[in-house]
Amino acid sequence: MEDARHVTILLVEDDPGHAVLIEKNLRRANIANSIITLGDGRKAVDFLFKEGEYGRGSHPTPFLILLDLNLPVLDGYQVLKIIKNDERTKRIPIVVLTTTDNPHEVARCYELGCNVYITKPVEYAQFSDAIRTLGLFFSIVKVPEKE
Amino acid sequence: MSIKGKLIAGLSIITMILTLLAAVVIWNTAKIHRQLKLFSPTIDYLHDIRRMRSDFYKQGHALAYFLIFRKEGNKADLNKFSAEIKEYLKKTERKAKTRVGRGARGAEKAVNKLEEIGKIYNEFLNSVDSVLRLDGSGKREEAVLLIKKEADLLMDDVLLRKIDGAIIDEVENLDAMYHEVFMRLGLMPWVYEKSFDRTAIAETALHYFLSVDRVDLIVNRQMKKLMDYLVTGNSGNMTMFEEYGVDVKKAFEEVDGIAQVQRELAFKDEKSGQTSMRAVKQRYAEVLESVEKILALRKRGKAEEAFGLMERDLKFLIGGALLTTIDGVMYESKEEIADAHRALLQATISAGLQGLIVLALVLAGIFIVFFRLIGGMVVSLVRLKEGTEIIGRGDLDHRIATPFKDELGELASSFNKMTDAVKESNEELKHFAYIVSHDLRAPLVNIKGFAAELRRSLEEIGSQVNSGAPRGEATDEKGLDSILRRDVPEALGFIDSSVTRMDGLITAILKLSRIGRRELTPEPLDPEGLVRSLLKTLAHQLEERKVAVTVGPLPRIVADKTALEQIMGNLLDNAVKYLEPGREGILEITAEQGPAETTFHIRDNGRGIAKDDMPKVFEIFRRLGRQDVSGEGMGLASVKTLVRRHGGRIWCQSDPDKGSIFSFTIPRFDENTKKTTRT
Repeated sequence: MEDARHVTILLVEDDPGHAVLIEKNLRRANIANSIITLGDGRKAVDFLFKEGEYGRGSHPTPFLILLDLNLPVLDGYQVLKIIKNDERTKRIPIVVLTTTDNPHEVARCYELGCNVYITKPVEYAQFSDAIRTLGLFFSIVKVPEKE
Repeated sequence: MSIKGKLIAGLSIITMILTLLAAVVIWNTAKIHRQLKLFSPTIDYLHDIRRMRSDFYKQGHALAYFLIFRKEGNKADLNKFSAEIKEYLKKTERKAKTRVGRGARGAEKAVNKLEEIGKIYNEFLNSVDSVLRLDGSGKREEAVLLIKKEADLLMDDVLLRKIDGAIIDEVENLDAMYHEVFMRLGLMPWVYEKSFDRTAIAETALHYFLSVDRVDLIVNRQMKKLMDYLVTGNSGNMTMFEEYGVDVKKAFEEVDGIAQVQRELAFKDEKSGQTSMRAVKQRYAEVLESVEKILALRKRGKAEEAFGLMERDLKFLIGGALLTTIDGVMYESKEEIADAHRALLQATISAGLQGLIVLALVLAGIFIVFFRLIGGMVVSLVRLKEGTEIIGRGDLDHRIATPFKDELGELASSFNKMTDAVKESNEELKHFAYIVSHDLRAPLVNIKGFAAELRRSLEEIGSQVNSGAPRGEATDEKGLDSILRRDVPEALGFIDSSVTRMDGLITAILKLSRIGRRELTPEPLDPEGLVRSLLKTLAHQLEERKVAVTVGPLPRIVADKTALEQIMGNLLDNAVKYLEPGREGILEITAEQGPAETTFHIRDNGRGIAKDDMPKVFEIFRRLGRQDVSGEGMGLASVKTLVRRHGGRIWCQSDPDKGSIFSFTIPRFDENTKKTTRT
């Protein structure tokens, strides 16, 4: 994202270990953008709409969201639904990154409006490769500017 | 043998039985028909015999007239009757032989009797010839004596008795025939009902015939005595004449009695038959009147005048009027009998036909019932069989449809319910497997990932130590310091926490599996006491949160004590745990008794559950809403398992502002099956 260093990556992941691993691998793919990690779905929604505990804060836009499905409080599907159904946030690209490869779930996510669906490989080597490839992909992706 | 086959076999047996019944009806009707067909020839035969008898008497009278009046005309009459009688004998014998050919009852005996009668009649004629010869040669006294000694004896004691015997035989035959007809009609009750009146009418007609015949017989005998007296002058004959007169009156009364019965059967109207019988009585009275005149003349010694009166009057009154009138009545009666039998025959045949039609309708009805009802049951059974096979092959979405709301329909809907349950638990199992594999995978990725990170850190440490680069000077590489102080402990920390988490998950799964396997021992329980003692353990929290607790009257149930403690414990614990801070708590435990199950409700005014989260409430490892309270995400999953194992259901209603109601059912203990649990 040479031209898009100002894009913030929002990592919504309840497993802190996963969050760390994802961030490490993104950095290795030379992604220098700021990465904000959020532990559950509610926090992600609150953050985007500047509600609840993020009510006062001002945060940079635009965003790209990396979303896990199995989240506490609000799960990935609920988050996806909220973001894609809101005029203010529906243009934000969402990459679903989860352990599930159930075709049913994949289809459901695309129906709800996710832009990319990636399965987290169990083998770490592959996991690492996948995240780094994703990083390369991010570097060429165009993200809509703030509306 | 398939059920369909069995039913078809049953139907075939019923058809066979009904066909057999139809055969019995046809056979009986045919037999009755045959008997009735034989009636007419028998009556004809009877009629012929009695006419023959009448001729015997007439010939006797002719002989007497000849001896009295000595006219050639009388002699010619005598010969005329001989010829007629011989003709009758031949005719009757021929008829009797035909009856033998047709297998009528006692026909052979009748033929033998007729032969004997023929022989004796010839003897009688010989005797008459002798009498006439004696008389011709002027030996009148001897002639009269011969009549007394031979001809009369042959006539009275042998010939007429034989004839009477033959008549009695035929009457017996007719009785036997009636007996058979009645018996066969008895085998076909509906035919019997229809034919009974007709049979009675036919039988009465026969009785009438026989009673008129008796009048004929007695009148003949009486007149014979008169002739004997007139020829011989023996006063003994006159006494007999008087006695026969009484008998004739009795015979008339009998005829009247039978005529009365016929009128009651609405067979004869007042006039027909009765008029001719009245004529008979009138002729008889005329005869008696004439006889009295003759006897009076004789007493006064006016023999010539008496003979004149006899010649002019009596001969005609007896032969021409009285006996001819009786013959007329007899002929009429014979015709009536024939008519009555024809009617009876028709009634029997039509009733037999009706019977056959009824049988055919019954058979048709059975076929309709079979194909409508039993055929429908077979269709249901076949559908049930096919449906269970399809479901058995694993198509849990298939449902059995039967068009009937009978026990088979109930069986189908029970099976459908069972399939629903199987499908539901199948889905749950899949879901459970999915959740477990997902949740176990997450820490594994961490362990592997951080192990790889550690290796990477080691490699970096190695390369930096070998290159001997000074600490912290590397530009694009991390310093040893940061690797050793931050990266390595972080990786180890994540590995450690992931292993701990995995261990926790596996322990939880094992616990759930133990709940599913543990032997349940249902016993009568008092849920109210159980709830109160559970609330005591929560007393501290309840007091702290100022919770108003109400425990409604809870009916006794039969369940596993430990399981119920776990169910109630978890639900109460959750209710207290997720109370909205700052709001005064309310906790209500109530129950309602249904016919098949007891339903418990645990209501709180806590934080409630979001609508989207409702389907996940009972899932393992799911913890919904704000994660500000500790827990494993196991409680409701094990509660659901325990309720299910008791054969009950669990569900919840919730409003995020007002609180939640968790409800579950425990089936009422069934005395018959002694089962409240399922595995």
